[in-house]
Amino acid sequence: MNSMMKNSLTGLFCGALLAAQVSASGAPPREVVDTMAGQVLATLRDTSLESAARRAKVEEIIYAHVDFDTLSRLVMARNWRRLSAAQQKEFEGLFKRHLSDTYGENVDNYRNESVAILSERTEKRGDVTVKSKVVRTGSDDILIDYRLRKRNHDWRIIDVVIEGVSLVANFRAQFQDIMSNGGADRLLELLREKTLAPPPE
Amino acid sequence: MLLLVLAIPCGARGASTETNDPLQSLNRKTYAFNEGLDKYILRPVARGWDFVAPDIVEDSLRNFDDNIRFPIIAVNDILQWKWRAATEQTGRFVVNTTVGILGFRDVAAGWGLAKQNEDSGQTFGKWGIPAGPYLVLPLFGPSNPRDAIGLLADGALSIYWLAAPLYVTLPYRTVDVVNRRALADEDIESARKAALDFYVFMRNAYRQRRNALIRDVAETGTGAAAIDDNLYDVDDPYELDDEE
Repeated sequence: MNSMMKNSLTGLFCGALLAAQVSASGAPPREVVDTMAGQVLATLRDTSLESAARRAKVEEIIYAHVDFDTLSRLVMARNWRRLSAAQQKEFEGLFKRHLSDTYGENVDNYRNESVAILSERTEKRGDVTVKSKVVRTGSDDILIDYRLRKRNHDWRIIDVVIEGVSLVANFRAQFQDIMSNGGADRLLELLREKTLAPPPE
Repeated sequence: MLLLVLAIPCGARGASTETNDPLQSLNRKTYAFNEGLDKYILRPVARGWDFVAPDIVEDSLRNFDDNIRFPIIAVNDILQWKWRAATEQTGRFVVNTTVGILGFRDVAAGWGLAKQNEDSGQTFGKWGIPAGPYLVLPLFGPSNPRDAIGLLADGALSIYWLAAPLYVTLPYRTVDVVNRRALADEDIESARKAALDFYVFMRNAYRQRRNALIRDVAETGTGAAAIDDNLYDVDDPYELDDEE
């Protein structure tokens, strides 16, 4: 065996190992939510971080646990097929950006909240709903349900239901309304305005 | 009552996403009026209040108002045949009115007597009365015929209107509204930023939230059951009912 081949084999092997480790997890849904919440809270509590760095870190954690591809298809529903491949790609990017912007903004408003995982339930479609509660001092707790779906051995979040309000259902209602009044162009334009992204060439 | 008749043709499919907004053009006008009121009067006043009032004052006021809502909650618990909850809420009222100093402090929550969200609109919903078309009320905001009548019933159950004269209750109610607006400011503004169409956002969120409350999301933890499972089908996602 020549050394080059040996090297590339070792490389392949290491690559496979690494890949196995990354998706290794295969962690059960409850653990996925628990880990994510723990990481987010630790980041929010970390006073050594600057605002921008904290936000970037939270974003990274969320991106690792949310299946934005499925999320985009679900919020667009039948309208998904009315978009061209390029529009689908742009939509996914903008929607992801938009969600990060709106929710990332609150990273500096941490007030000693903690998260408790309450229970989990398997849904008809094989998805799993993990119920959790954000415990706040001085105000009411917030109930948050995470819906997870298994994809490539990993459980990823496909919807967040806050106090009974599903993010997927809510955005779907909005996008449907916009699509039926102004089409995909209007929807993408609105998303660009919201995220302040420049229009594509 | 005529409005209740309009309520019937809403399909069961896609309960969490359906539109049912035949009065949209009127609703949008009322919505615009409410938004203007919030933008130019309520929010600025609430922000001023938030600036001068310490958090403890804001929380105490909200607690006080939550506490005097006790008759609404207890009566509706009974009307929904939730005797255990009615008993707990009575205990909560007694504890908070005494130990919690007239309700300014929510001591009971720490004793395992959690606050409950209950009103007459929810009771009507539990009785099977349909919500009816979406309705934006001036000042009160998102509603529907069922919940609007529920609001009237809640008003009748608010015994403090009888206990105090109008020149006390009216300013009190004003302060309460301003205070609650101040407490919710962060959430409201973040929702405004998240929404691409705030009118549709509100319409949908209101319907989903009310459905969850009717199913007692907090007490039984079955709120997600209010969501149609078809919502999560990537291959065959249904079209939303468009009743315009």
